[in-house]
Amino acid sequence: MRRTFASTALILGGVLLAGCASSPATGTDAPESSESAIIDIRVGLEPTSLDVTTTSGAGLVQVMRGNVYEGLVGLSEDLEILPALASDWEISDDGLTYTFTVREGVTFHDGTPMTVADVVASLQASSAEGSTNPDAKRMGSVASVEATDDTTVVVTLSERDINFLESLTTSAGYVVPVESSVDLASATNGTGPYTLGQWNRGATLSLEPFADYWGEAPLNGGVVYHYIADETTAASALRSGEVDILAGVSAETAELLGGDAEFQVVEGDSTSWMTLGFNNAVAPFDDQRVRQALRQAIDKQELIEVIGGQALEVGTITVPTDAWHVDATGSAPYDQAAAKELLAEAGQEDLSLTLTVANTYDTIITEFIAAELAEVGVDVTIDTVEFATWLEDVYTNKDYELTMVLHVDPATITYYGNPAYYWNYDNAEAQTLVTEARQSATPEERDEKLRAVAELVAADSASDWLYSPQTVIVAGEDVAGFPVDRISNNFRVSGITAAE
Amino acid sequence: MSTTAPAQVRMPAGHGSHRVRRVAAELLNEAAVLVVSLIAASMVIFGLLAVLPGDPAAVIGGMDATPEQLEALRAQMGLDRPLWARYLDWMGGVLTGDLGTSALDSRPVAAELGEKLQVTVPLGLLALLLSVLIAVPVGVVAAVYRESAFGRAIAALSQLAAAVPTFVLGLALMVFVALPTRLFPVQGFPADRWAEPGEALRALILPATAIAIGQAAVLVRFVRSATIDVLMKEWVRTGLAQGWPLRAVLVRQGMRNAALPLLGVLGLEIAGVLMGSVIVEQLFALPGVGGMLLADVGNRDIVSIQSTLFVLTALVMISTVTLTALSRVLDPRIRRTS
Repeated sequence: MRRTFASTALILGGVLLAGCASSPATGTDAPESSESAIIDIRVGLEPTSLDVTTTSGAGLVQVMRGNVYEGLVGLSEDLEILPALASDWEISDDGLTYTFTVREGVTFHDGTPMTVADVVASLQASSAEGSTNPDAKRMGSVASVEATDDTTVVVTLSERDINFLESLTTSAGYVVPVESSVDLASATNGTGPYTLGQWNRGATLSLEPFADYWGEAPLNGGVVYHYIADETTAASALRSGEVDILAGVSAETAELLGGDAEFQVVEGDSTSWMTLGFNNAVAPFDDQRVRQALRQAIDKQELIEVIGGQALEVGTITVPTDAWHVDATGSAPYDQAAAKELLAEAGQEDLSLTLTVANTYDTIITEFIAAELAEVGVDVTIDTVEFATWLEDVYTNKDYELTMVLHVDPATITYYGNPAYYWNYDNAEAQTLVTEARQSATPEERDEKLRAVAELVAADSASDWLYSPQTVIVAGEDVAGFPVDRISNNFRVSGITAAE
Repeated sequence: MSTTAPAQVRMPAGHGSHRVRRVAAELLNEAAVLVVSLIAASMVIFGLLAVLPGDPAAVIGGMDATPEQLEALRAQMGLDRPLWARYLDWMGGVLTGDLGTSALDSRPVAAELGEKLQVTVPLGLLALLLSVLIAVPVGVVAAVYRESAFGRAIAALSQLAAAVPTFVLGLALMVFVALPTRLFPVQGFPADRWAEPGEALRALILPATAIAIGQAAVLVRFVRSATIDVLMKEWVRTGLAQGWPLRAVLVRQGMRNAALPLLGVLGLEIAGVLMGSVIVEQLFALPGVGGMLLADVGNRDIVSIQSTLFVLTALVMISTVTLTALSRVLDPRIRRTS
């Protein structure tokens, strides 16, 4: 009797569970057929708001730049300036006057035609004093913006700015309507090939092709960005076919998926530097010998191996794809004996330092640094804080000794010319070089100046540059046309195709 | 129900209305305690967030905001006002159903929370349901077979299941169930929420199971001991002696007697389920309250965090109190009237 009861209970439980588990799944697996495939992309960072005129962050830039919003000019994957909302432009010989021929027949996503008034208002707003545009600092040289006729916009600069056209490809240069009924924080109203489909906060954001786009229509039927924080989940989602592309994965995941013929693993260049920041204004970091010693105490090659290998040793704040690249890996070669000597010379043999770091980075990196520095007699306390706290303490209040952060802006090198930046690096020569670089007449001249800055900050050990991570993209074998370089800030999706 | 109530707890006739009044007074008392607890909770939440390091204005202003811009942002967000004024403002809003607006994108927190609860509440309920569906039969079997190796094995297994972290269970379900069968998605939730209930449910099954296994493991032990209690009762022995099958005795008498305290235990499980949902929402990339809270904390969206935490606290407290009260009201030993 007991046995009968037990088996009944088990069977009943089993049936109930099986019923729960299988019934909802029936008949839901048939894929919808469409002319061109929807591309599903896993990215790590979700935007906090969609308003490109006020919000910063890689998560937003990655989705919007060139896909939803456009400026007068665009940027190719090879960093070439391309015509966008301007079909043509001329630059005066003194480099101060830019005359743009604005394209006709361009429509905003809400259906209103774009006019020169929209262009003028957008650029005036982003370059205005006190502008809250995240890239407003790039527009510092703009003196005036005006329309001379229905298709011509003239921008006058107060001083030469060799990077001005590139600045127009950032949020500071996006053209948005003068008047719009659309709330830009939760909807979009650009001129790009895609318009916002649905933002399912915390999970997905979809883009749909914009039917009235002035240029070439996208090759896909739309894009869905999936915000999956967990790497294992992301890899499983790729395996199950729920996503087509993993944009940016860890070395472990890449290795795991790379062995499978179903997937292609592509390495791309990035513009980012894991930077060990010194607070140059406080002792003992006001002594070049101490900074140099700390750099020489850390074995960068081994660190790169520890984090999985997909990174470059740099030695300064440039990467090989930068036109102004210099190889400065020899500026602080790994040499713990030399590091100890330098510390002794500076009278800093018993150093205790605090490394303040945001909790967004793998702790293995900071632990490695602490272990290496311990070997030259420097006792490091790791203070892990949330990013918000880091922003306030380190970035805004400059209340720290050592910090570590990944810089992703290609222009980071120019911040060494800003004594108010959080490194407190105040070097007149660097400031002059950065200004001269911006005011160069030719890209060659700019590159030469920036090379000098890169060498200067390396020799001065203004910071330490631990490595430059490379981007690894994993995609299904049938996916093509996706960009691979610098995708964290220039990720155009209109050329991506996939077999349905 | 009253006709089958055990004779030994029958109340003397004539005390019915008195009993009803006493139950009512107890419930009223519970409600008063609940209100005081909620006010205390709101103060603790507000106070803790007020001393949380990290300036919300700095997060919104980003890496390039000037001190003047930060000051303007602080004023705009009301951060320059005294603490008590901010607290009263917030509480006043909450009482009238206005949970405030997100500092980041000016969206009403109530709308955002409503959207997220459409994922988290069904996930939690499904997890509770599954944990009961697993725990009751397993617990009863473990009680019936408590003397045998089989029963001991079940007890040991449930101990083991309780020790495995939820995210490990989730990963295992993903790798060993979702990937080979392709019956369930590995991650995500339909963007249009419950427009297609089948799809939405499909997305919740594995995450709910991951939570349910851990919770069920705890419940199994409770069901087992409750069932053993019942099996030792004299009236069970009487029933068995009269030739009733054990199954009938257990189902007609035992289940009901074990079910009432189970309600109270379920109330206690709700907080655990909520904790589990934060983890599985992250793992299965579900747009629920857990993920919202994590993102808000990272972004220092204080208004959103405090309102969300308060609503969750209220939900847990109210459902716990309701379940406890319900089990008391339903209990014939209290409810019985003449």
